[in-house]
Amino acid sequence: MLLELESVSVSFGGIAALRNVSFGVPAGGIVSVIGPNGAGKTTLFNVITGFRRPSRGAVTFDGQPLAGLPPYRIARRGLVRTYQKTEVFPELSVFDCVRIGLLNRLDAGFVEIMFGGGRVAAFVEAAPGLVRDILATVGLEHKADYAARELSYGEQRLLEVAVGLAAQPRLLMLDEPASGLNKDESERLGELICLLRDRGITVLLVEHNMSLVMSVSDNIVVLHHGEKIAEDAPEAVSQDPAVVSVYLGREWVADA
Amino acid sequence: MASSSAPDRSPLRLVPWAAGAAALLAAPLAIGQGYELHLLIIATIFTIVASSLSLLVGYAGLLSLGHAAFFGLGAYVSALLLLRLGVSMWGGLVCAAVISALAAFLVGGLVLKVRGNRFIITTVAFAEIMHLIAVNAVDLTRGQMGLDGVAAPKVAIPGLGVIDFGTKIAFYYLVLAMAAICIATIARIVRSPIGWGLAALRENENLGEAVGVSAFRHAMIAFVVGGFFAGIGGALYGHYMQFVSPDLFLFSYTTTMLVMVVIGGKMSIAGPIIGAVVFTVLPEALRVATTYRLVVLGTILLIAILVLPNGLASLWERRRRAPAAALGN
Repeated sequence: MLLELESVSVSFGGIAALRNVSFGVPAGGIVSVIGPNGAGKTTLFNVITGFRRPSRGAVTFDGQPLAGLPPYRIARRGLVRTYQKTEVFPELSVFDCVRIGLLNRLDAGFVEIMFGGGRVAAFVEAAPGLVRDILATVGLEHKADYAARELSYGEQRLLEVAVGLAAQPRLLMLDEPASGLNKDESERLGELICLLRDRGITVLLVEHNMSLVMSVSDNIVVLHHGEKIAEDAPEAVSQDPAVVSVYLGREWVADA
Repeated sequence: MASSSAPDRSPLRLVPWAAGAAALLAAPLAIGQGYELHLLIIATIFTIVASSLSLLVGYAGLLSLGHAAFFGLGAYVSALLLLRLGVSMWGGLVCAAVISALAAFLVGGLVLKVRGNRFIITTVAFAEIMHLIAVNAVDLTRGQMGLDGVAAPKVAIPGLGVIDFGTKIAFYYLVLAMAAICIATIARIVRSPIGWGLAALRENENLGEAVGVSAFRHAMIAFVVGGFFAGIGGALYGHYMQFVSPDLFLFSYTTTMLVMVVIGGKMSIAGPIIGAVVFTVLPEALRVATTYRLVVLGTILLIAILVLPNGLASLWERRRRAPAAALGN
């Protein structure tokens, strides 16, 4: 397993946001986490990426425990996330936003950046080409010079994915990337997610858009009130009576 | 923001800078070596200090209300080394820079993990503590009386004779060289990958952290480099005025620096230079209006903030960018 959660619990005051959640994400796979609002999905993301400490339990990435590491160190290991609420660098150009993500690939201190030569210079030289490739991958190459805040909502979500890609993730965690997207946009997003998987990036997805989740996921984890109530392949999860009653509802089964 | 995918690499972009440098080098010929040169020296020293503050307030988005602490610290370090240990200004400048940077490193280590209000308050408190030390460590600093006799050295250069840095003209070229080093360093930082990281810190530090940019590390770089050059600026100021006093730590100095940065343009290299010149010359020019001087100054400030939120530097930068916008972006 590339990412493994073992009995992770988080409580705020006396309230448990996550209780004994365990699951794994295999390298090269696409795993989705679904569940009603308040099920603990975003808390789960915050725990994995170091923005919040678990009260109990452990997260390991590529066999290494992540306990106590600050977010940027976790990102340095190749575990990169996007946010549920759209997060970009609003006043920067789309090009500059993506270029910031590239910093995750540069391992140089202040002195080397200021006075060193070759390695940093080569990195800076290569940056524009890499940024253009990444923008082409997500389909934003024509927006490179726009300020991030000028993009439409859907474009900003793609920009977030582009910034994440620039950071060269081994595991990319997407927090509701399709929220607010129309049908065409979310279908394109699904294609993009599969493309990333084909390029060797493992994906952990939190998403409400069930057609997207069902079409791309290898495995689905269902959370409810902070507990894992199911973990299975998409077809099996959609038939699971417990999942249907708390989350999917009968209508969805009828549609499928 | 400028379109970075097509950076302006044409040599033409350097023309205004080259012209400015030539004008500054020739300035003493035009304005003489009297009061006008004095103002230019003060403006150049404040260019160093304001530029160092712009790294924090502008590029890193960290509001520091205690920049005078590093300015005053640099002035005292260099003055005390000269008066107590006989170290010349050259050693004093180096020590002032290093000790001010070290102070920034220690203060930063305490408060830059959690930024925001706690950082702002701590910067104010640090300047106040430095002020109290300067006032109360009478044996060392002579308290409110200050330290006089902070001389600038004479340097013998074989074949050229002796340069007396106690003269305005020699000191002018010294501060000009220091300002050039300071501006070149800051320009290099903000255009390097460190500058990309500073932009991440300023714009959205959580997103930056999520893609591997340490907010703490970048805040620390800005704070320490800012302290370094503020220390140099303070040491130069002390040796130029030949006098240092606890007043150097006062909030009014910080306010002056902030006004220079904000009105000049906090996100541009030219901004703090423009701000330093305008706010050194303007208060002098307004002396004719004696009674209403501060009222006029305040009004100008207010109008500048309302009309030019990105500072005076945006006046010509906006014009430079106009053709690109006309092409439909």
